[in-house]
Amino acid sequence: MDNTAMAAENVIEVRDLCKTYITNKRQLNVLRNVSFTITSGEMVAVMGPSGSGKSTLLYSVSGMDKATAGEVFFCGQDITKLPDNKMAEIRLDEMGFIFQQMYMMKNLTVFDNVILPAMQSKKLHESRKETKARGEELMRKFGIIDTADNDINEVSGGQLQRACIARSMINKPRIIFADEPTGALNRSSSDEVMKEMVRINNEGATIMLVTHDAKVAAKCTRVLFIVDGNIKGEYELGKFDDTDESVIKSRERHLNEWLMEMGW
Amino acid sequence: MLFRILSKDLKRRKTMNVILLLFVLIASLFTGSGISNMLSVAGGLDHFYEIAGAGDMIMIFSGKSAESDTKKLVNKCAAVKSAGVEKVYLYSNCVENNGVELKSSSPAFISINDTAEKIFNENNEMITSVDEGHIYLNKSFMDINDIKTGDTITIKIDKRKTDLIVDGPMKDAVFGNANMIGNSRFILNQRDFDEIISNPVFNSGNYAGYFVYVATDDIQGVKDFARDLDSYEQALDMATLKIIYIMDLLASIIMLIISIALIIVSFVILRFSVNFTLDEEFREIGVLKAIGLPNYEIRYLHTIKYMGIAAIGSIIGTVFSIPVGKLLLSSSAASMVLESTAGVLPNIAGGLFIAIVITAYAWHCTGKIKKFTPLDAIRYSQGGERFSGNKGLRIPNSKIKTALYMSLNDILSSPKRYISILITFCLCTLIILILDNVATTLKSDTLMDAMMIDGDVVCELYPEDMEDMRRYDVSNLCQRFEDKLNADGIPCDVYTEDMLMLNYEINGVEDNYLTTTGYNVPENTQKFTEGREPSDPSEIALGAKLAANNDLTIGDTLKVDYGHGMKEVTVTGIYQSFNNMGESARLCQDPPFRGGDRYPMVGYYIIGYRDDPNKKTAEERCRFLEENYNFKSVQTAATFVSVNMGVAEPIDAIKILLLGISLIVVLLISILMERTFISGETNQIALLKAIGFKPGDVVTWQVLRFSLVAIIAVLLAGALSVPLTGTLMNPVFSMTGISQVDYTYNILNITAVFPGIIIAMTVISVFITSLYTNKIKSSDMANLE
Repeated sequence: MDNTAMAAENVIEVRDLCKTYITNKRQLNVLRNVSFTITSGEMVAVMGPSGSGKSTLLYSVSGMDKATAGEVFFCGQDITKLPDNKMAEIRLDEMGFIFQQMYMMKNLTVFDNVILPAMQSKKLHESRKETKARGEELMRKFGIIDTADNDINEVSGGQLQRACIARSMINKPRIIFADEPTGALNRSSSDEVMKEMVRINNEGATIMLVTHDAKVAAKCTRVLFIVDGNIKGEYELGKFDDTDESVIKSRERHLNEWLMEMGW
Repeated sequence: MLFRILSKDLKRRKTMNVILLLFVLIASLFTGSGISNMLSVAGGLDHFYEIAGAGDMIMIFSGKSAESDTKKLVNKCAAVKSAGVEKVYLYSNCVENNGVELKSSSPAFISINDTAEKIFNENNEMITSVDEGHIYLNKSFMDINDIKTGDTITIKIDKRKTDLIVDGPMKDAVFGNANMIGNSRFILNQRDFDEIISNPVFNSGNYAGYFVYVATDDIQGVKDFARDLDSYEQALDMATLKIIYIMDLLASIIMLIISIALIIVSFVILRFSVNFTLDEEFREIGVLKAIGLPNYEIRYLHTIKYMGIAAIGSIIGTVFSIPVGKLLLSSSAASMVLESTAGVLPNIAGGLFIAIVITAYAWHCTGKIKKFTPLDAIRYSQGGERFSGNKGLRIPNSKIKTALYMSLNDILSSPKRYISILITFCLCTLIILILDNVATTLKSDTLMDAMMIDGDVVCELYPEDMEDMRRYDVSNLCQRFEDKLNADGIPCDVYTEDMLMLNYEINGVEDNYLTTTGYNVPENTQKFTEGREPSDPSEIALGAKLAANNDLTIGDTLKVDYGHGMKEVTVTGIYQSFNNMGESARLCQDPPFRGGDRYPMVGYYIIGYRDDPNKKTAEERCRFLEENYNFKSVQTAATFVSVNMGVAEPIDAIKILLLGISLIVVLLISILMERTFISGETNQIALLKAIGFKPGDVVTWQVLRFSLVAIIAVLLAGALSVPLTGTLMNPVFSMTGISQVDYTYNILNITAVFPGIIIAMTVISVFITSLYTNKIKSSDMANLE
């Protein structure tokens, strides 16, 4: 990833995004004319009460779900009109995904799971050896190289989620989408995971994550607060590059105050 | 609890349950109708022979003293309880329909007034009279020659013709199969009979014969008595003759074999289904154990569903098996007087058996529950999955396609899961390949030596020429024809074989046996499994079965009557032969009865090429023989064997039927397994789509792993089919007198055609089922969360 070249670029630009579900002949407007942008190098948290549309927003922006109306520009290209196969290619090559449950292919080792997207992708034109070397490097960075040959049921939740982050980065994506990445983890594992997320963000990765945890959101550069499918406000926190406990607490306090102002 | 588990299972695993139900249903249907048919045919046959008055054995007498000999037998033999005697006139190849000579037409003409063995019409009523100008024919004879009731057939003997209208098929117990019994009784009105036998041809007395139906408790005693009678030819006991109805039992046997295969497949599905359910519900089972439910109660909960499926399937199967059984029986009843005495009991027994077996196996499969502990509910909470140590394949350094890698990895990671598919597909292919190997062997020239003498072409003589052959030196005739062909540019040997009944004394017991002798046969042409061919009249070779039955081996001696009293001969060779089911003997090429009052009876010239012509040249030579020489037919050895054996075609038909059933099994198993795999892998499929795998990649992954297993299965089946064909079929062939068969294999069929069909069916059915993965969207990750 070329951090400097992409510094000012809009990675995601969302215009009037709407998502409507029809359930039992009832129309449910989950997203209503949502608009926002994410520039490269940002780490944007989406917060909001349960059922506010956070996850739907993430899935619609990442092209995993079709928007009912509106436009989503990914690096300048409207992805709402793209056919499924083209969208799959973009997700494989240019987007990374982290989910709350650490879903992985059950018959593969942790390492093979990490490099699986690279095996499928033609983006980097590298040999399998080079891919494996990068996979090992990523796992080493995330402190899970010792688990490389393990089955996925042989490692802890925190290790597995770090492996998921490594997997999301294996194809050097332009953006990583994370849906409640710490939601299924205990506090200690959650801290480990967020430490890695912040680190990769500081190394240039653009991240959009959904969370209901203010402690997690406080480590992001910006927070979008969504209620009833609308972005009610956004809060600029700036880069988080300090591990000083007092800085974390201060950002968390300010964020909480803002969230209270927003009515949460 | 029970209702909740059942309703949940029925809702979630509809496909699996429906397919299992189908297998149980078909297995019950086939078992019920198969058993019912088999009991009816086997039981009904004895009844048929009894009401026909067929006795316990049939004896054949021919020659000048035949009439007095039969009287002597009936009146003086103490072992004869009662006997029916028929005078018949035998004349071959004399029946035509619209100018075309009919097959298997070796009629034994008899007047309805002279019949000793009773015949029956289609309604099982005894036929006591035949109208003038009319005739009844065997059902099988009519079928072979495509004759319908009301058709007119022509008896043409020495330029005299008699037209007869066919009144319908008759049921003739002893001569019921025109393919397997050389003669077929032609039962005529007295006037027509008199007209036919008034032909001067019959004046010689060579064509008259006597069929004697003997009721006795001492078959050997009757045979011993008959041996001293000059005109005695042959005796066959009814137990042996009933083999002619084996084809009527074949359908039932095949149905029972298919049911066994279906039961095995049902077991495979059951095991898979139970394991899948238990893997999915291990937490609930753990909780049940934690709250103190004993193992048997939990096993009962998981067995009851299969008991229900087994009960419903077998009840429906049993109900359908009743009309299917009747349908099967109607086919056999066309040539037999059959009465179904067992009612629906066999059908019910078959269905009950299937239900019990399936339920018992389901109970057995739930034994896994005993290994579960309450801790399982807590320990493996990850996504509802239980993982075992990875035995799979690591991503290699080579550029293997992801879908192929994942397929291979899946198979190696969970081999047990795929072994069920492997066994089923292998079994399906194996059955077809074994039948194909048998059919190919029966259509090849491999068995030519067992039918006659090894050779490349068989030229069938016209009856007139056969008569001529009686008057000449056969060896000389063969040599002259050979010289002509050599002059025509066909380097070959021409030879033939004569068949006759001779009297033997083996281990002090006298009996008549079919005997063959060759004329002008080149050295080493006749095959022997042991020893060598007899070189002079003091030597003899024996059919394998005759040797085995009498505990004779090479170097042993026995006595043979060449027409001038018993003469001691030494066994020099053992050979295989279909003739008289292996109970035959082979003499040297210059037996001392030649030139006496016995004339050779040969019907064919056999041509053995000295070069090794390719297929095209061989065909050209056959055409040349047809065009330039006056033969009734010119056949390659393979065609001759196939036509005369007459079973290659039925086996081919059965093969096609089994192929159809196998394809249905492959289809159902593929759908069932694939559907189950998808439901267990929903989260993984959604994940792959979320991280950028295209729907096509997912489908390819799903299809490839089944295809790989199918490829392994068919390769395994191909490899196993070669040794298993011999293992399974040798006992069958040995019943006909052949113990060592050099099977012929159609490599294209084994390696490409049938495996290709099985693989194609697998790919198509898995592909269509795997399209269901298109319903799983990457956005389903949100729902899974």
